Amino acid sequence: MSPIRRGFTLVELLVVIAIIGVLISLLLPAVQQAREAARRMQCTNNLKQLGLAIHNYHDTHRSLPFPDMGVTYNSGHWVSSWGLAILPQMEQSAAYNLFDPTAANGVSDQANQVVVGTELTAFNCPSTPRGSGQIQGIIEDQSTTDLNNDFVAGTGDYFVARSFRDDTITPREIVGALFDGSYQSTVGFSAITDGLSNTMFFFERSNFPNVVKANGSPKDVSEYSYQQVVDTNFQGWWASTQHDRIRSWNFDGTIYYGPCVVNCTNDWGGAYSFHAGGMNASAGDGSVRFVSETVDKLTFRAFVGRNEGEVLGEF
Amino acid sequence: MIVYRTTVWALLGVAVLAGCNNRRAYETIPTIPTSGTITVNGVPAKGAIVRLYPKTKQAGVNSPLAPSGRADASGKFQLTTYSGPDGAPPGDYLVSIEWPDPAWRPPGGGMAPPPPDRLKGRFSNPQRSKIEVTIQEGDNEIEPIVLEEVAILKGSSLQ
Repeated sequence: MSPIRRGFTLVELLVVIAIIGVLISLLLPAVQQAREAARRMQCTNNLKQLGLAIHNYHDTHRSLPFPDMGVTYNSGHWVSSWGLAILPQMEQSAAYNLFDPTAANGVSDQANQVVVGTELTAFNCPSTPRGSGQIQGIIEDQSTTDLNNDFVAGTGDYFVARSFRDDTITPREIVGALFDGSYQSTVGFSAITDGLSNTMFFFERSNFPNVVKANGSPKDVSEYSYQQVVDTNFQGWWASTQHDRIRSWNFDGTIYYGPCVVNCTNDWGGAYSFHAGGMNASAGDGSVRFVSETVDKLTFRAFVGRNEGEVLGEF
Repeated sequence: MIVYRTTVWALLGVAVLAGCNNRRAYETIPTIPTSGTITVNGVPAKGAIVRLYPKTKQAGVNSPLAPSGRADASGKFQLTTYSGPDGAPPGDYLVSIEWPDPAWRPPGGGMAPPPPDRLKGRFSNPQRSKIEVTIQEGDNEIEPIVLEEVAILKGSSLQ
């Protein structure tokens, strides 16, 4: 007779350890995904806030905000960006009241550093690896007095679409919400003849000024399509001209005009988020939709356009 | 026995890795890997973007697929339709060529128009470039694109 066994054999211990190991390896990715799901939800909520703010803005001003900052290119064309315009509707009246639209250098003026440098989490998507903070902004030199040479700006990940541009489709450009097509005047909800629920207002173009290709890998400077914008840090901060033509790209995110419209690059006109599988976008009715990476280009184009009269397919 | 166990663990590891490898799912039509070269006034046109516009509607796609490539320092380019050097679907194409000037900077900072084309837009419209190519099965190299006596944008270099 062998003695009564006490405790575990080595094999049993090893088996138990192996099972625990497998279980942990199953659990850890789930935890990471739960975190990302929470960040995505926060991001969705931010877009919802922007959608509601723009409705309140329209109620007050009977039009949508002028989307262009227009600070430098045509002098004398100073108007505020949509980010600045809707501050009162985002419960940021204090910041809005600090802003001096008559300052000689606009947002680059020392008088406006405090406002423009404000970090507002509502304009940032938590999934963006750059995080919410401050980046170097542009140096505007309309007037040399009071020019802010140490200009820093609060980051922003949300854009409005000026148009959808793709030279392989006819017509090659269709105009987006908030734009009259010429920068001459603002538009109201009545101009969005496709319907507010069928027209995109805000979308994600995350992580500026850090330019990435597909899968979030950094894009080399030699591969930039629009180096000037990156060099001058003209975008990526909420008070700036946070709008662009949305362009299609190839799936690598290396050359524009291709079959991909979501999550291939945040370079020139690329709609990009760090959410797995797609991007958040808010429609004119305030609803936030998740646009899949595999969305058909023409469907996405119809979603961007405000008056092209096409039936918006399912996506 | 040890060999057997190692094999089992290795197989398990492979299975787990394979499960994690979720590839992007998009529908494609067959493409033929294609490359070419481009020179402008005898100089390899580094950074030139060559784009192929289909002359007729392609079968099996909603919107036209326009393969494109960017020339490297030796003027050589690989066409991409979806990703990587996957080439172009077979067919007849009109070609457009743009050669953005990377040295150009907008005056005074600020939101700039697109960088100017060093070829002054001469070949940017596929209908007017007068360059055509045909991609067919087994044809892996399109005829070299040689542009001679092209007026170059003032202030731009060929490098």
